[in-house]
Amino acid sequence: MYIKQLISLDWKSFKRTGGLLQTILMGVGKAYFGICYFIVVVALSFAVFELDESRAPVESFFRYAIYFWVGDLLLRYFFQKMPTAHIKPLLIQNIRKKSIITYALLKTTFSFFNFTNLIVGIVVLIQLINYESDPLNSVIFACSYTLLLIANCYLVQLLNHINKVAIPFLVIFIALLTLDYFNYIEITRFTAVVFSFIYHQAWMLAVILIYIAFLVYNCFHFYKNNLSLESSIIQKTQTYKYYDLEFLNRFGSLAPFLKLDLKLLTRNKRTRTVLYMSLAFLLYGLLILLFPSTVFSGDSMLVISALMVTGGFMMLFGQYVPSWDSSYYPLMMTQNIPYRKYLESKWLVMVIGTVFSMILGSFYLYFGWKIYLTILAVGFYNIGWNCYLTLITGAFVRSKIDLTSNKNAFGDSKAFNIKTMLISVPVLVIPIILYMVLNLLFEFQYAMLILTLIGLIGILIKKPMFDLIEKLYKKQKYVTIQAYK
Amino acid sequence: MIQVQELKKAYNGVLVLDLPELNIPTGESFGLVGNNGAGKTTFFSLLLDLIEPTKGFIKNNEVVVNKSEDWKGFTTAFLDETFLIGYLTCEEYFYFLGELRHQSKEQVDGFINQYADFFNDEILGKNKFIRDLSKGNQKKVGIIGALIGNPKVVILDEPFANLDPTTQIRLKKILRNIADTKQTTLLVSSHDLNHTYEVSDRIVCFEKGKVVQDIKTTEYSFEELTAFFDVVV
Repeated sequence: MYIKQLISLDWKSFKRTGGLLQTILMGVGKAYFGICYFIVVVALSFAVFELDESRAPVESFFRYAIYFWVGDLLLRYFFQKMPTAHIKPLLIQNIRKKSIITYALLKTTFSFFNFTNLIVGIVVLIQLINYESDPLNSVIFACSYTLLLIANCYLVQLLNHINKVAIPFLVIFIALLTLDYFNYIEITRFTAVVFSFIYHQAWMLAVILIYIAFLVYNCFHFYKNNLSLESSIIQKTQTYKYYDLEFLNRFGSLAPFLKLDLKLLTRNKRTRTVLYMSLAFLLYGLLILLFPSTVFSGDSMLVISALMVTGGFMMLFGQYVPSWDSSYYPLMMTQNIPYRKYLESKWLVMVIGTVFSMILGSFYLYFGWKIYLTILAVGFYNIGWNCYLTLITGAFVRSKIDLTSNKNAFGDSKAFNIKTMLISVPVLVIPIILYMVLNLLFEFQYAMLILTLIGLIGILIKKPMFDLIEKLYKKQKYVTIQAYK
Repeated sequence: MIQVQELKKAYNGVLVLDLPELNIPTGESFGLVGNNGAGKTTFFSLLLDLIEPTKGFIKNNEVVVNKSEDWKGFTTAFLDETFLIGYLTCEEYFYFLGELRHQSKEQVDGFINQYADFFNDEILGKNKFIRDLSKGNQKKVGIIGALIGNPKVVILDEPFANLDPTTQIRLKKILRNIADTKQTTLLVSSHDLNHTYEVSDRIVCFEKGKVVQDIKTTEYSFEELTAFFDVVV
């Protein structure tokens, strides 16, 4: 009965946040990415049976099933929302802690990922029956495998709150699988045996059920122990030495903001996630270069990866300008700084981030100068145009960001979610079209040169662009202050 | 220094502030009292251009605040915790504000040291993030932050609320000192006539968005004033 009330609270909080247009736009974006993800996953689960032509289809599946599991875990780690309930006012009410936690866990069970897992299970079942004659074992195995994937839903919640373990855990896992892919060590030989064992021994279903129960039980207890505002996962107050970053003073009047943004990025968990994610984006190109298949190839994929490599930070940071400052926005609005300078400093942060990515991306030279040339050209385009575009879209994303929200077990600990990826659509589409048109008209080198020039033109017209952006932000000023309250 | 003309603020057609005229001369210590919802914070927010007036305007040193940003150079404020940057230590916060107001680090250090006893050894040199300070200590940081850089206009919303009695007395002294220089126009709001009486030269009382009393404190005793404001406060 409490659960019903909690649902109604959630529904109200959903209905009453943000403008209608924003909600609709975000809904469309979410649906778009959701469907893309869904299609890719289903296609892959069919494809995995035929991946290794030297082996029998089912053998091939057993071998690569582990990639699915890790991929699912990884995606969940970054995208799956942690259960959130507005617990502070609830804590002292006459609601058993048990109800709050049960509700939160129930809510995550209806995650989109779990739904996709179910479909994957069905695909696997179809394929198994298609290739193997034993229907009973196939059904039981499909169940086991689906449950194993769904268990990630809870595993990821535990991982999420033990950050010290989570990142190394994921890194080691991925490293092992990468080594495996290049045949340095053969993990999949062992995992293939495990999956094949699950297939042949029907009672393993029970083991997996116990595994899920174990995870759910642990989640429940973890939340129960931490369901207070002063929980153990709140880090002890740390002391920090004053550091003053004098070298940034060469940026003159923008220097105070650059210093502030640097501290913003390094001292808050949410913004640190942006930095980690940007590093991950830097490796995006490897996906295409190392796994050359028919799905990931062609020029447009090359531009997309170049955009991701050089623009990861720009997009992740830029989409939340000025929301990063939401908790002290009135301060910013009353200090002795013109709005324009404030925006310019944000732009500069994005430009510096992009330049850094271009430099760090130089390891792509290993794959040939053509690839790195593309990255550089696209990088310049990003600096020239996409930085403005991200700033412009940022003006419309007015979500109040609680930088310290990670402090509580029930806090929304994700700085990165699917709906905010929507804004990257024009940022991605325009350069892809440009690239294709240029490559159609000119030789590759000249096409890249022209793309770079287009980027430089963008930098040259900074003044009129900022007139426009400033006007836009000024128009939004009062609405923005209101939205951050 | 501050001139209000035909200022009206309405939310969804409901008038929450209606000030036909209000002038605050340079160097005056101006106290604003009134009940919850009387329009004190609304007035300050309009003065700082955080919300848009429905009608009329405010001039701060001849600058119309919602037309030009020039008032930002000589006006400072502390309204609430949204004026604090949680992930800075309080020294960093002061230096940041100092930089914006063209004060060197040394000047800021010298300025803060005057207030060492106000901070009561709990804030300076502790290298703690502002977000980890208690609500009262955060408030102290915000108030002193607003005083950095010799501003001509200082706006403080409910500075006494949430502070312990000792700190309230110290704060009154600090504000009184500023008021006595007659260089800074000081705007302070409060629920409590007691505090404003000691700090302000003039007390204005808002009720439902309108001025209902406007009195020079020097001309009356505290008891007389209490009688004046008895109706509403």
